[in-house]
Amino acid sequence: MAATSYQPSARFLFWDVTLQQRKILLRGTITLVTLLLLAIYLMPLGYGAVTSLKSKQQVADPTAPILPAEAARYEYEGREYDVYQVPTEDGIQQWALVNKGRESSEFVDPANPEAGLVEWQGRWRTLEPARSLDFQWNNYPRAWETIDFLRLMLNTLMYALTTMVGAVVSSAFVAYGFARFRFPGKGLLFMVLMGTIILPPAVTLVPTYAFFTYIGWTGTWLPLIVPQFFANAYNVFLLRQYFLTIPNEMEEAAAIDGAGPLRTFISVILPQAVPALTAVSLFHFFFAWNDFFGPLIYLAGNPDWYPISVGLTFFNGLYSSEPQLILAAAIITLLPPLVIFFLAQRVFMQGVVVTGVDK
Amino acid sequence: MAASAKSPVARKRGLTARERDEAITGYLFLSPYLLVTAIFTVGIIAFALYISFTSYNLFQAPQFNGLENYQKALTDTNGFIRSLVNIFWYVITVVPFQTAAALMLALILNRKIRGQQFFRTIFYGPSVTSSIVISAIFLWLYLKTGYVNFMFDRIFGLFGADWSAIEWLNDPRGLFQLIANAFGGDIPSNLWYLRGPSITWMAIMFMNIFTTAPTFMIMYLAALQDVPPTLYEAASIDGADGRQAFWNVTLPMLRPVTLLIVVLGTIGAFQVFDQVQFLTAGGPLNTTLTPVYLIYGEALGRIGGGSIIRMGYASAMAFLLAIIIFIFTLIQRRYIESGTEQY
Repeated sequence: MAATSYQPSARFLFWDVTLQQRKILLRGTITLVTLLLLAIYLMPLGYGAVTSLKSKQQVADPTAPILPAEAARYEYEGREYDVYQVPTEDGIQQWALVNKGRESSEFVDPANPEAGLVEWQGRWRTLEPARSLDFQWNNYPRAWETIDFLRLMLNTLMYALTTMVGAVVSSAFVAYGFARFRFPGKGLLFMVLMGTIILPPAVTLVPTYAFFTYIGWTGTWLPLIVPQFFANAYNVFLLRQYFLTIPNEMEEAAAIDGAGPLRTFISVILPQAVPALTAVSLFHFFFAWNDFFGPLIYLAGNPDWYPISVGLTFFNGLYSSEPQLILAAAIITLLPPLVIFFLAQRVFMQGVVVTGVDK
Repeated sequence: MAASAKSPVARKRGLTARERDEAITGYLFLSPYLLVTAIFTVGIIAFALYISFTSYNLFQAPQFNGLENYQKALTDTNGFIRSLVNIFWYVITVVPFQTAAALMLALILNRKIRGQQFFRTIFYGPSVTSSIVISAIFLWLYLKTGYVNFMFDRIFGLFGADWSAIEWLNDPRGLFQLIANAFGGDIPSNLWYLRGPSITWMAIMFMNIFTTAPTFMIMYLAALQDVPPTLYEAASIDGADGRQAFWNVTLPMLRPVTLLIVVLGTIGAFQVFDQVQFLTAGGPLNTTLTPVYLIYGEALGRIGGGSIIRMGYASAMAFLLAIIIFIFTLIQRRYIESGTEQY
């Protein structure tokens, strides 16, 4: 250390600090900024979570504290009294107000009721009511039952899983076709496919809806599920990017061993592409879980088939006087994708990096 | 496989047997797409184009009416034209802000900090949650007695000022109108297009920037991994400090992904629907009406209370919207193509 004891120093705010210390300080500052940003970022979600645990009275009361709390009450000689924060000589005490007076009131100390009524000089109206934390956990079972969550969840899960399998498998085939084979019209076909990304779904909405009505599929899940089994542009694009990075030699070796293209694809390429396949599957799962536009249109008038997103909209309309229930429902809805995301985030982030792009 | 295809001689003579085999295999792999998506999409678009020149209500055969739908759309200042003005404000606000926010988040989360992975995961959270859930939460934040007004009240209170609570999701006053008001003037309602985005519309914009920024942050994070560290080393040898390295190395290297984010962001922004359907239904005073909301409403007969299905009119608006998106994308693509092969 003696030989390298010289370190350039700089003034950082008020202190002379070494480069080493400055680095640590800088890193600390960045972490702090990140935490601050995180706090701001999580505020709406946090607010939603906290409000979902409040009572209806508290939600309606604009002066109520931010955390779920109930006004504290104390039973004295058979009657219930409100508890207030009373400033006394021994600091602030939580006393129950028994006899209200203009300039002085009588309180009882819940910790020492034997002492009887205590006279307190001052206006009781200026006192803050004492509150105790009180989480209304049963908002969740109530929301769960009111909205028939189980059915909504099962509908959504069925939709998300079926289309995930269909879309990923079919897209993998198409992506491999585009990535590895030469054939006439390839460029044009790929352009048409990419064009469907740019094409607003609203443009195809009208004729697609007319078509599905004509063949009698509206009001069922079919218009939402069947098309997914025929590849979609985003997935093809992402998987093709990944397939292009797999070296050709693998397939050539397989071909020499006598494997046909299908066999090569299934037993050589697909195992290599697991990170990309996982990422695309997750993208699709999240997309389908949160899909609103499609189900809203095709399942109109069939509440038994609604997925969660549409169900929540109707719930919101019916229970606008009970925001705590709506928020509880919202929190339940966002939990499954969040949990899956947290569990799979390592694979997911890796997949995002390998596919280079996300939805 | 590759050897024969690469030979230019074989090319000129047409396909060799080997190439034909390869082409057939290729088409077979593509069959899910060729069978349905390609044929269906092309067919559907042709059909859409046809009914955009007709009057069609699903139950009776389409009646040809020429350019009437297009004419109606382009003159309906309370409907389609208004939705275009609204979406214009939306796109020019949301796209730059969400791109900048995404870049900022990515740069911060790309620093070597403790719990980097944890932060990335948390910030990405809103992207995997549904627009409806986010809307449901913001609905209560934006109430007159909600948390947003409460915060403004507290902040204004710090400076001894009064904050008059705003009904965020039901306030048609426009941005420029508010500025005019501040100077004692006003913008009359027949000049509605000069009033700027309404308070409600801006509240929705803010909410959407909040949700989409982390989605694009991930793309920036991925792209930041691809910047070769040698470039930074070279820059620091040349004496560049952190800020110069950012402007001269990081930003140029992020150009392709930035333009991709801008294009995808623009396409998405033009089609905003969920939040409008859930929160405002186009109101107040049509200031949050969007083209897709109108198209949905006309196609399914959900507008005007008369439940009249106007598929032809909806289709015409959809085509006009597609043309506008296409023009925007073309302009942006001119920039994308200068500098990117990888996307």
